[in-house]
Amino acid sequence: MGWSSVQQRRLQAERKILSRFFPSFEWISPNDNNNTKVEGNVPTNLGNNYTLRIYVPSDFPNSRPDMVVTSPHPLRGFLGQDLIHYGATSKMHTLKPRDGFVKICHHKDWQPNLTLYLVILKGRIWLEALEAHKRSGKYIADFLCEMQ
Amino acid sequence: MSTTFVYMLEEQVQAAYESFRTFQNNFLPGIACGFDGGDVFHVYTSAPKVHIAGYPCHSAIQFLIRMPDTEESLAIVTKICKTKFGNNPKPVVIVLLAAEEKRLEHRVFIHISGQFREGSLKFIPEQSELYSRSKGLLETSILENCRVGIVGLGSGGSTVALELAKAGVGNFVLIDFDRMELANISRHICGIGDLGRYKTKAVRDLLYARNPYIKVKTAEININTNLEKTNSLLKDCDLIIAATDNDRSRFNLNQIALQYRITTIFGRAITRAAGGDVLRVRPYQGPCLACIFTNDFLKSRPDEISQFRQARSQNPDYVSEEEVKATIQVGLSCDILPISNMIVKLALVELSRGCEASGLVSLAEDLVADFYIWANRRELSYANYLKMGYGSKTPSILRWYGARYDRDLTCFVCGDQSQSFLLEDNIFAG
Ligand SMILES: [Zn+2]
Repeated sequence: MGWSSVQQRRLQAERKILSRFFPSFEWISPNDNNNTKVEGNVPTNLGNNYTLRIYVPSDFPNSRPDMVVTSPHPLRGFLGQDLIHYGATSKMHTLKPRDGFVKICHHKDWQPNLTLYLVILKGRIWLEALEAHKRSGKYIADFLCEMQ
Repeated sequence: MSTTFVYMLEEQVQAAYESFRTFQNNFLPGIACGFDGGDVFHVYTSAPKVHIAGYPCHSAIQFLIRMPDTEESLAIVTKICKTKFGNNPKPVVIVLLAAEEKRLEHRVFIHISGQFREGSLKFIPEQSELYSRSKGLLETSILENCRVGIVGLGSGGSTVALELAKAGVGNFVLIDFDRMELANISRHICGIGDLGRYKTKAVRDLLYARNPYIKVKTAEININTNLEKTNSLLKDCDLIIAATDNDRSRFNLNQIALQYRITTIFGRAITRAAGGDVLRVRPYQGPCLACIFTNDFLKSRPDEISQFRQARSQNPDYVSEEEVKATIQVGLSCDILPISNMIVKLALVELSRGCEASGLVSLAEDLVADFYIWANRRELSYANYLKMGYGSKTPSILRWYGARYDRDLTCFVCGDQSQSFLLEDNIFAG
């Protein structure tokens, strides 16, 4: 199964943007549209490292890509609890986990004009909110609302 | 007593005659349906593509060397009736055919209430004749060769399909994965007799009922998860109608329109069908769906939510079923019809484009806008409209407004960037 030529042009543009702004991100199975992922390191302001993985859907850019945190694994919260147990909750801006990883809720209203770059940016903001949650114990949603 | 009419498809009679000429096959069992206490019968040589209505009756077709007089005919049909159908109380329709000097002579007899009566046999002609009536206004010979893909066969898409078939469009690709449910009945062109069936197949049968000679391909797939299959189904269409109920599928169809440069018409109703809009996408010539359907735009004109599946997919996982159900607000069928009607008109203009003989040339001059807005009631985004009254200078309900939208050259979907060349190190190629 492959990407259509229109999709290939689009992915090419996405790749160009990512290589500039998030050079650590790598493409996994880029020619298999049922398994294409982008994965890379995202450092937070405090200098902690996280790995984000984005599943590029076979009808990209027309549906929302899933984004999970693959490292550290398990991903821990304020009291050291595994965040996966929150499941889908607006309080933590998380959705039903994928492949055993915490899935971040980003772009509630997806649009094909949104880019993977913007998805990763949302992931970064969520990670900052996660660190704020770890310091204060407040829900992630409390910080994300302030930031937006 | 009034005449009893018996209808047969010309094509089936032709095929039956060929079989008689080639294999001396002079007797064929038929399938017949009776209507209105024996007033009308329809006879088929094989199961028809159209919906069968009426009540089932026995039937037979007998080929003869020559057409006999009434007395002899009655003897023949009496014999057939006795030997083939015995003392069955159901009506029996027997068609006698004889090829004489290149003319097919025909008589039909109906056995009903223990007596024979002669009926009048009528033939349902081939497509070219069926649609000769609209010639002049529409170039039916052009439409006959057109292929239209319709994705989404709810109350909107199904009406569009039917109207295009009536106008003489000869080829359809119908895509939808929904089945007819009770909740659909009040708005859909298909009724209780189609409950449980795929909408594609139920609608197909309605199209055949208008014109048994059209070609209809159906696919019961979710296009969002079967993009490649959808591409191959739609790529040879002259026009695509996007009548789905969610943005993801609309954006996927927008992409197909751009990929294969096929003009695509998007139509939808907004909340409670208070109104709706129709967008024509002429790939790379006018705006694409993504140029117009921005987040701000969609927030001001949210979709009509008519069923649970649609509502669920528009809400994140953490929204409860109860909350999702509360978002379902169904509009009236009569509020969907004007939107379908506009789609049909735009479709006919597009399909007849370039044909001087078309009676739609002046309509094409009017429909220059790519985006049209319709209001059924002064509510939601139309709350500020003035009452319709008598004038026509201010926006009011029940009128179409063409809105000017240009192609957004910075659009990430159809803008200049999207037409860049594929690079040497294209890691996305299969
Ligand atoms: Zn565009």
